[in-house]
Amino acid sequence: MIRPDKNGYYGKKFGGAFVPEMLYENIRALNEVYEEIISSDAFRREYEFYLKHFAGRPTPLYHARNLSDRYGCTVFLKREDLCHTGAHKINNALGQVLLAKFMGKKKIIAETGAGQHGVATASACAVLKMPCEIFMGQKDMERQQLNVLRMQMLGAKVVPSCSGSMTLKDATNDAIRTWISDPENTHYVIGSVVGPHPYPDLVTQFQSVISKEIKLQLAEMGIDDPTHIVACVGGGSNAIGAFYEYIGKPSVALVAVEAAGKGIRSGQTAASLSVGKPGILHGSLSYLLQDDDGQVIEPHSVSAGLDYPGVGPVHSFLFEEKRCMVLSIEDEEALRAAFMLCRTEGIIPALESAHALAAINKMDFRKGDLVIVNLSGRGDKDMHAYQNYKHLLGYEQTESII
Amino acid sequence: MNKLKALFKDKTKKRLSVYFTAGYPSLSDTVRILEGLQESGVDFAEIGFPYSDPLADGPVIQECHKASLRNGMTLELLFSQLRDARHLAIPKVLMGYLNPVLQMGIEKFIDRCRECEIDALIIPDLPFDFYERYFSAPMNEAGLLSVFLTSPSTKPERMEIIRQHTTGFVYITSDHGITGSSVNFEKQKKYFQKVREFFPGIPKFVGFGIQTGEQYNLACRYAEGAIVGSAFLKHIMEFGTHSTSIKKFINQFRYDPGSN
Repeated sequence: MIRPDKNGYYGKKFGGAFVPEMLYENIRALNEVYEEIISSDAFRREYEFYLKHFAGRPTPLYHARNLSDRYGCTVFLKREDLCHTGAHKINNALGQVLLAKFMGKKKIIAETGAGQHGVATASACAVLKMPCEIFMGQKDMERQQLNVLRMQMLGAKVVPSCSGSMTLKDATNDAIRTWISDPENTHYVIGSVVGPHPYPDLVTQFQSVISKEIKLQLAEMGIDDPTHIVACVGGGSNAIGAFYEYIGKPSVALVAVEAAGKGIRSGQTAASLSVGKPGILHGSLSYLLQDDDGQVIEPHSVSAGLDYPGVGPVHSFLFEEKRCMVLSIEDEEALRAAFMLCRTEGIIPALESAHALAAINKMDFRKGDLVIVNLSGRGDKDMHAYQNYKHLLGYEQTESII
Repeated sequence: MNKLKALFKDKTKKRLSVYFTAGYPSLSDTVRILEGLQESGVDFAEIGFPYSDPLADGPVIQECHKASLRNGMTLELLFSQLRDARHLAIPKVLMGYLNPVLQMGIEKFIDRCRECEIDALIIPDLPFDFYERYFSAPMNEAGLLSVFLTSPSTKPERMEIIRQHTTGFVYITSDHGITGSSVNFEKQKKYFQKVREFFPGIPKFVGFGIQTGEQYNLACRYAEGAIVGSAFLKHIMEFGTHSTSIKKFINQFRYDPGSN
């Protein structure tokens, strides 16, 4: 477990709330009530109802026997890909929309990159009867037309974000700007463990259900702790969810996998921890891809969900404390791992999760090791990307190792 | 003596401040605009340094930040321009987001401000704990005044903190919302009045959304003056940075105690 201090700092350095005065009261009000609300019985009852019956939790902790054979250790997949809407994002969306209802808010806004968090939020808003506006970069809207339609079918208004580079970070800026304009009625559902305090902690709390389930599921199988937990990191919400219960247990290796894009030295990367420097974006201080003048650099990853220039402050802290190991995986490696999983285990993973899978290929395991890979999402949304790499079909039969 | 402090000593006049983004429309316009503002009788200038992600700004200033960065503006370059503008008597306030300052290094940044005879600093996303820890002492030493924002949602406890830390002036943002939004100033009178009563003896300026002489006049009834930003930038987008163009724009904002 890990919590920030009262000002939102992890280890006195990362996090905080670097927001203009117009946003201060929103943040303060949220900070004042969120802990009490989300730990109340009334909230827990509702939240657990929707997690179980709407999102489909608990998700299986699947003993992947073929992968285990391949790597010579025991590999489990935490099947977040089986969640309703196709990824772990729904855990946070349901939690925050419900929290907004408890706070008496009348409207939800959210940002989305590829559309996963947008679809999750739109679904949560539909079932919980909240009006919903999703900000999405103009470029992303063009790239992800099906997700735009999904959100619209679910009743959300999708607002094109035409500022900056017209992608995720700009959609986030525009969502925050809109929140500034209507603080009293609106709740902003941020999609990852980023943003000003208390968002990183709030989202962490909602995603921690992943590792809470892992713990219970291992106990049911009579297994104590895993030796490794591997998860991909963009903003870092599925990773912190999978790590959360094990942070205080040094015997469990936590592996955070960043998107190297075309290579961490290529200038086309999203590996903020590997090549970024601490800086401020979206209201918190954390590792950030930026130039020498402190201007944010547009990231690149084949996976839209990892295509973010920053990373959650909690991950910066775990990284500097050496509590987690950070690996980076290039586009091509992730794609190969995705094709490999399809044939090996019969699961088409999201490109994000494929980064975590590719990482286990770079690690050495002993026979008794028990490795959990957080399979954060399913691959339906990435079919158009996979279509461009059809040459990878069947390659895993000729290569013993990806 | 700090030129802004000297300006505030004379309490008989209402003041006008203009914000612009350095390096826009072209890199060499920074000093040219400062000259134009001084010639037009603007009381002090707010010089914005660009950031890739200006969270509190509307489309006009966003566009200026983007263009300025595209033009190649950096903090170092801006300071070298401002070093050459020291002869201009107009008080100069620097305004921008925290990240470029952090990357330059806080001490170095404040040192440069002192060299360039900057009078005050506005960093909207600078939290008070951070200000106290890293900015307050070196700013005092450099004779750099602090400016903090209030918004309609700012609570009295928060205003108290603002009062304690303000050495320059209080920046009253006219409404919820970002720069350049349209604001119904009539509706904000109560809020302006509340802020006026809370900060006796500290200069106050209203900003965000001031587009007309009428709005300027109304703001002046509750404060020492007002700040025009997006409207000015929109004007130079259309009419350029020549001093006659600037003068023409500035002439709309003359305080008329008889109006309203």
